[in-house]
Amino acid sequence: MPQSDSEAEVAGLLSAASRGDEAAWREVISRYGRRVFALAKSRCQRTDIAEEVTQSVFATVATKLGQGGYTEQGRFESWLFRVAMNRIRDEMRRLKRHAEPMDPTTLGVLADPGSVEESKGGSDAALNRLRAAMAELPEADREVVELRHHGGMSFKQMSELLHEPLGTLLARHHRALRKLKQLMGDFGGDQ
Amino acid sequence: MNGSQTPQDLRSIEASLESLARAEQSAAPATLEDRIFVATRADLAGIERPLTITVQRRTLARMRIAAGVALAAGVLAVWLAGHGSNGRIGGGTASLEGLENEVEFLLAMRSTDDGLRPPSDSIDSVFLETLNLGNSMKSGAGVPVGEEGSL
Repeated sequence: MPQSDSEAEVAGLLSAASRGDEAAWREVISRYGRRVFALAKSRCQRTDIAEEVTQSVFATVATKLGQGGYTEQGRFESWLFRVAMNRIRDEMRRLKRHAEPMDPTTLGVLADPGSVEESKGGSDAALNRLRAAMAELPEADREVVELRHHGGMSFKQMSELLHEPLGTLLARHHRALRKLKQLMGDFGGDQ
Repeated sequence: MNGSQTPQDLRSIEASLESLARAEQSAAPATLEDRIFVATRADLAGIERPLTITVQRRTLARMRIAAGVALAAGVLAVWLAGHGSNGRIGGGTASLEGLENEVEFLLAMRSTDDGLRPPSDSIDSVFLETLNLGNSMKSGAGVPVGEEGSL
């Protein structure tokens, strides 16, 4: 769920980081690194690519800070995840062009989510079913779900990022949840 | 946790999504943050050098000198034309048409320049052409006094 770091606190960290304070930069990475990673992983389903994307995103942020070019006053998260979404889209396009083989586990889950072996534990199977269900969502709905849960963004932040009214995003989120619930039932399991 | 007013019937699936998000975060290597830090600390410290464009002073100086010479030559040409072979200002048969032809020729020559020649060559050629113009005027064509004439 959304982690509400106070804007002043984040602004302080960014300001210090832009002056070369490495400890402040480490703290920024610590607060946002895994959220960006989770977003990327949800999309590309590959740990190595998710890490590459995450590194690329923070390299962009660091460069901006180092050059004194960061001016997104009080909207760091929206900006950060905008960079992340763009990077992820670029990567997904690249993957489509090169048609890299998908992880067999994911392939199997997408083909028949109900047949996932339970040997890895029931929770893993349920998560795989949920991943498969996410892949069935329309793009816009999936984006809202991922930003909300994997990215940990608030609806207000998402509204700034996506330039969409808050009510629209709320409605889209609820619609996506209903669809996921239905798909999970179709896949033979529900939480 | 639930600040989104999620309907009751959707809260279980929302909780599942939270579990999935935590699982994705946990899938990251333990050293993720360290690796990101090491990979980006140089970007944080780096200050990009401002791109500087330096105009070659030599070329500018030569152009100034050539322009000055061309101007002096033009003045000289006009003066010589005014003090033609008969020693009188404005003497001799005024050939404005001839002068205009010369100027048009000069301009036509310059317009064929495809810009590939260095500026100094262009200045040199203009200077030479101006001298030639002055010489041709001295040899016969005079500039009518009182009329406006410009090269």
